[in-house]
Formats: sequence, structure tokens, C-alpha cells
Amino acid sequence: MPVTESSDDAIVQGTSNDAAVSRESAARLGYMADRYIHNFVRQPQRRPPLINRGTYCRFHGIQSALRQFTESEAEPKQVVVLGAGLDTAYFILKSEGLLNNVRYFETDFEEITAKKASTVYRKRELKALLPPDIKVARGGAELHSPSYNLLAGDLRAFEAQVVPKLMERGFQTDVPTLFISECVLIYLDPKYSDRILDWATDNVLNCGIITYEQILPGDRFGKMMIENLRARGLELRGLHAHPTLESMEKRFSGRGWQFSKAVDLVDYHDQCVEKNELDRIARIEFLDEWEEFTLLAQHYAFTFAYRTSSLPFSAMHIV
Amino acid sequence: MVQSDLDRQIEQLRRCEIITENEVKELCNKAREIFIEESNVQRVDAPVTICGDIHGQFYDLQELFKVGGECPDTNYLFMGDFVDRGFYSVETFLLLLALKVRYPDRISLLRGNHESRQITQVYGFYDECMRKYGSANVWRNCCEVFDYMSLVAIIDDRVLCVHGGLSPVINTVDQIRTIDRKQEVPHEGAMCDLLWSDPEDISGWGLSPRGAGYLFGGDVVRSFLHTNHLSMIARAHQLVMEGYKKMFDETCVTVWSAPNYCYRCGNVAAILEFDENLKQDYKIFDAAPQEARGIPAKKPAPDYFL
Repeated sequence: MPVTESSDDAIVQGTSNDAAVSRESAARLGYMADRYIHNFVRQPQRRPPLINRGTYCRFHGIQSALRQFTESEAEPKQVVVLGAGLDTAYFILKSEGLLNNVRYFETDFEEITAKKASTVYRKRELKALLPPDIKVARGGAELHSPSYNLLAGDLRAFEAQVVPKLMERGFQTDVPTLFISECVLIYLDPKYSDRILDWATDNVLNCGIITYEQILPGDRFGKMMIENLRARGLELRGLHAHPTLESMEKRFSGRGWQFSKAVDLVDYHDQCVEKNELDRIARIEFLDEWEEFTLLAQHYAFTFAYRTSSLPFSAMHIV
Repeated sequence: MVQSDLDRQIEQLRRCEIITENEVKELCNKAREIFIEESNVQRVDAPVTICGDIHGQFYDLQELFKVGGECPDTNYLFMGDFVDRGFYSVETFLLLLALKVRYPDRISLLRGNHESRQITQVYGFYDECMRKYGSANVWRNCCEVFDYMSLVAIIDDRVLCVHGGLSPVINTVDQIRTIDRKQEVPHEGAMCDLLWSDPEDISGWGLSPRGAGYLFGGDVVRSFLHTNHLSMIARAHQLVMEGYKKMFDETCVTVWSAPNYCYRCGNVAAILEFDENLKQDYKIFDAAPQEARGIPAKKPAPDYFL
């Protein structure tokens, strides 16, 4: 019997909890400083060291992109987090004063944004970081303000559902814009994710993107990953369309973007994470499963790409 | 302990059913009495079948016995890492322990780096004991047994078997004999290195990315074998997708016995049979099919980044 789309969607939505539990596990042990994630996790779990280390690398890459982008001089700027889930980057950056003159948009399924909005409103330390002019909208499913917006919409209907909301909330197509996708586009059939990229390509001249997604479906680990996730009802619909680092890069260069580079998490760990950081996290817990970490990390990649070689993107070094 | 009780416990454990807390306590006491008599360096006679990491993958251990033969028909040497990561560390370790008590001359168990209080609290065995028994007593009993397990074995004076590898502070087998092993695995030093080190294509010694033990090169292996009149080192500790890996002109072999490690890696597993002339035969096996895992099938849910 085919799985109905809505039960399928609920499982994909559940991945935002899983990601939050992983982040909370790593943050609690001290891998990264995220004072806010615990607010979103009802039942904390201790993840194995290799997951904690991978979660750290993922955080490091996305934060690196966000910080270089928001700290650059070009103003104003926009951040659009596609499928933001329970991510706390807004709160971390806001608490450090890094979001002045940045419009920050988070989008996700309404089920997720409603949950996030209600948590943010209930927790004083989160609410305190919202702009003073924040308004609850759409019966609690959205948060609106000039500088921060949490918007509900289905990415499969990006142009019909999400774009109009972005526009209505002050998104400007002539402002430098960083898109972020952490394990989000990969769940979409490529016909849907391609439309998002096409829209950005056609409408936002000065845009960049950082994605963190699975690769290499064809080897033994990759096949087992697909099988295990399928057993949980998760289908990596975009994996076969962009199975390698080269095809990830081509996804953007093929649309005429002037820069695109992909690295797997092994190389990111070895080459992009600072030596003193690796020393620091090595002291947090023994990583016994080194070979397994390498296997797992080979199957995830960051892709950083930008549309035109102009600031702030042309000055950013992520991967 | 009455032998019929022990046989019943073995039968029960073979069905992947736990035994009572009191039975565990008695079994552990009995096992400790046996291990305490064993030297740090166990002498083992060929023919023998050597096995690498199991990591609580009980149903895959059953596959191993199908491929290698049942104990006591086959003489076994397990090179550690019985617990952690898999879902059945309790059943796996207790079954091997019960077989050791029942057939002490037909099965040898070496200590791996996961046979440790500290590591089992991070990697799952402690949590599993709490889940299955509701208290830490079984975990505590098992950890006391860990402290008494041998560190290395030597087959027919020719093949050194150890969980991890060599140590820069050890040149001779006699130096291994002088280690005071009856303790928690230390964070550094000879005992730690034996359980944590890895062979690597380098010359001499290198720092290990694991944070414990060292990396050792082919020259280190050659010189150790020469000094001690040995022909090869067999060890476990590292996942190899093909089940086994020979290095340094076949003077060092890694044997890995946990197929589809963590229900995630997609690898095959291996055991290594030495016949009475020390001729080697590698046997490869796959993970147990889902049907073999009993009803209700426990759905493993390995972690990914989602």
C-alpha cells in the first residue's frame, strides 16, 4: 500500500526533532556553544561520539557561512533558511548582535513553525531575543516582524506558497541573500527543489547558498543508509539526482552560478575545522569509531555556491 | 554451579533471552575464577578460529557460529569488544562468558577497549543493563569480569593475537607478562596501547586520532616479530568493509566480525581459521537476515544526520 503523502510528510517533519536532539546532545557536552537548543528538546539523549562530532562539523560549516555573511560590510542583507526546523542559529547570532540590518526568514511546514513559534513564545530567553515589534500571525503558526519572520509553507509549492509570503514580509530581490538548506532539499523530489533554485537564479541576482546533504547512494554504506531511512519512512528523493560532489557543484554551475564548490564532511573535518578546535573536541570524549566516522562523513557534503562574483559572497571562504 | 543449570543458561542465552541477576552474579564469579588463573599472555593451541569485534550484535554472532561451527566443536579465540553499539550486548557477553565457564579450554576471550567502565557508559552497554535489569548490578558484575580478562594470546608460539596492537613501551612478550592487568583500562601506557593502537602505513610510531593508543608502522611490526620469534600479529579493533585486511606483507591482519556494523555500515564480517599447521583460511559472512532475528522483529534505528 502506498504511503500517503501526509503520513510521509509527518516523518520528514520528525527529522527536525532528531536534528534538535543531536544538536542538544553535542551542545550539552560542550562541542559547540548553543545555549538555546535545549528549549526545543523535551527528551534529551546522549548521542554516540561520532554523531556528536558530525553534528559539530555540520554546525561549524553553517555557522561559518552565516557569520562571514552577516559580518560582511554589505548592507542590508537577507538570510532565508529553507526548512529551518528547530534550528537556533537566529538566536545565537542575535544574542551576539550579529543580525543588525539583516532580515532573517525561516520557513518550514506549518506543523513545525507552529511548534517553534509556541516554544519561542513560552521560553523567556528565546522571546527576549525576538524583535520588540514581533507579532504572532496565522493563528500562532507564524511570527512576523521587519527583521525576523517565521513562515509556514510547503517547499514543494515554493512559488505558490512561500515566495508570496516572503514578498509580503519584506523580502527584497535586490538585496544580498544567503539561502540555507540543512538536510532539506534532499527530501524533495528534484522537480520541486529545482524550482526553488530556478526561482533564486531568476529573481535574486546577488544570492548564495550553503547546503548540507547526503551523497554517494551507490556504495554499500549508501545503500544501507537508504534502506535504513526507508524503514523509518524517510525517502531521500533528491539523492540519486545529485549523487556526487561533482554533481552537487554542477547543480549550480549548470544554472550559470559563478562559483560552486562541494566538499564531503571528511575533508571539511580535516581541512576546514581549525586545528585548535579539533584538539578541543578530541578532549571532550574519545572517538573510538574512527573508521565508522569516516564512512558516515563521506556520505554528507557541504556545497557553497553563489550566483555572481560580487560581495559579500566573493569574499567568503567556507569550503 | 550445577552443570545442568549452566547448560540451561546457555540454551536460554542462545535464544537471546537474559538470565536472572543472581545467575549473572554467579556466572561472573565463576568466570573470574577462571580468568584469574590465566596469564596476561594466553597460550592457545591450533587449530583455532579467531574472531574480531562483535559489539552486541547477537544474531550476527549466531551467524558466526553457523559459519565457524559451534563451541565446543570449534576452538575459538575472541579478540575483544563483545559489548557496546549493538542492541544485545548483555546476551552476547553473557553467552560467551557462559561458554567460557562451561568449556574453558575451547574458548578464549581477550579484553577489548570497550570492556571498560568508562567506554561502556558512553557506547551503550551500561544503558542496556539498566534497561534490561533496572539496576546497574549486572553492569557492575560484568565490569569486574572485564578487569580479569587476558590482554593477548599467542597461538603455537607463532601468532600474537591482541585487540588493538603494539605499544612503544613494549619490546618483548615478557614485558606484557609483567603488566598488572587487573584494573580499569588506563588512559595511557602499555595496557592502554595494546587495546587501542592501530597499524598504519607509516614508519615508526604516530599519534592516534582516537585519543588513546598509537599508530604503528610495518617496521615496528617487523622488529617486534623478529625480537619475539613470531610470524604475525592478528588483531581486531578496526572496521574493515571486506571483513579482514592484511598489511605489511601479511605480517599483520585485522579481523572484523561484526557484519553491517551498527546496522549501518554495510560491511561483511570475517573469522580466521588456523589449522594445526597454522595454515590460514578466512571465512566471510553477512549479517543475519531479518527473519532470523525473531518475532517481534526489533527494528534497529541507527543514527544519521537528519
